[in-house]
Amino acid sequence: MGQLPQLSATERVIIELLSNHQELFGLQMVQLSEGRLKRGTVYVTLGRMQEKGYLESRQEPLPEGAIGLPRRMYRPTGLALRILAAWRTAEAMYRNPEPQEA
Amino acid sequence: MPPGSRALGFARLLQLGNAICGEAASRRVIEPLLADWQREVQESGSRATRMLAMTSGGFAFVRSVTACALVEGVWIPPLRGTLLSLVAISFSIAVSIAVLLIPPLSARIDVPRSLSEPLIQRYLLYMAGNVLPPAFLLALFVMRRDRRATVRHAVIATMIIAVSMVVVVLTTTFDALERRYDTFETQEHMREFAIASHRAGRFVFAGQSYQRELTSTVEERRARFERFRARMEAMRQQDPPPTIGDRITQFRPVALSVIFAIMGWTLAGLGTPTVTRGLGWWALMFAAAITLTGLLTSLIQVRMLPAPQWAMLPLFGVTALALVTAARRIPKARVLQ
Repeated sequence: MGQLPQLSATERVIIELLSNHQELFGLQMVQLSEGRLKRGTVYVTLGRMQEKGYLESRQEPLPEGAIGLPRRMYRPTGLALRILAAWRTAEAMYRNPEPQEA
Repeated sequence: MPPGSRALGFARLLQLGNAICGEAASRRVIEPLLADWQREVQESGSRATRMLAMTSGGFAFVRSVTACALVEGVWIPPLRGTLLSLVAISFSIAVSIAVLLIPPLSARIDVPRSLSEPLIQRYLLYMAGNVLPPAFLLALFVMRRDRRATVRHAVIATMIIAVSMVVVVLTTTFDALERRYDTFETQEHMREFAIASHRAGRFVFAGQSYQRELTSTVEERRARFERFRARMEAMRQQDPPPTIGDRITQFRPVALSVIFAIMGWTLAGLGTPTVTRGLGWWALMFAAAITLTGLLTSLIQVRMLPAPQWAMLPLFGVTALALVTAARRIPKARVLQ
């Protein structure tokens, strides 16, 4: 059986936000994180999470007549959601261990 | 602000991100950041919120680019290119040492040309600033033989070269070398060579000084050496502080190293970077450097006009600039033919 993949605190915040909101831009995540995500580092983390296969992204279609760069929207992959669920379960078991039978 | 000019500004920032982080990392990290930032600025209502968006986005951009450049490793030169550069520097140092040992070090005292001799070490280290810079032309030239080497790697290599040369300059000043080599033990060592040269028939000691030297005790010689050191120290205290011109001259080898590194990288890009071509350019610049530093005079033992050392920086600087300009103007397709 493989090891449970590691999830940093920042990665966990991102997956939790995305599991609640389905799809978000990087800046939206910073605004919704209540200070837990920093604008200067979130994009590096998002890029790394995409490489790990935790996130998928697509470019937002530019509105008619708009110029500039299209924004990138991120959503969690099934793998990320499974890892988050596994960590939540492990955390719950650690905090409330079932009494051992004599 | 004319329409589209802000978008142009963000496009330039994207180009900067590509240059610093590499295109793949920039697409993954910098492009989404810039897109969000651009939209934030576009949607900001008041002047104050726009300023706030510009500032916070700017900080985020700088931080992300820095982190991205460090994490992505696009600034670490490829192994083969690095090894080739190190071999080139070692080769150049070996040739430089051989050239420096051609002229007789002293007309009267026969010092063995061995690297273990303190006098030889001191002489070679003192000359390091003059003969080392062309080595970096060859180093950057052969680094470009590795097809994975990029301009970023050349920039990093040049920065490392500059820092290394600052260390070389600071540790090979006249004072630094005197502190390291001007000891009583070295003086005694030299005395033995002088006595041997005198016995071999070379004129070393005048008059009765040879007899006096033979009959002197170690304590007397040590006391004489200490008196000499004290006198030199007193003279040094009276020296005027170095001027800006003196400082520029002192750090000229650093500037020359950077200029030669740029020349090496550029010359390699102006055609196929074969080892023969690299060695040819290195030999040419090495010859020019030793001529302008006045070393050639002592090599061939022929008195020449004083070498215009001040001309080295402008001469090689203008040459490097001309090469860079030429490299930018010549289409890549023509260069590769």
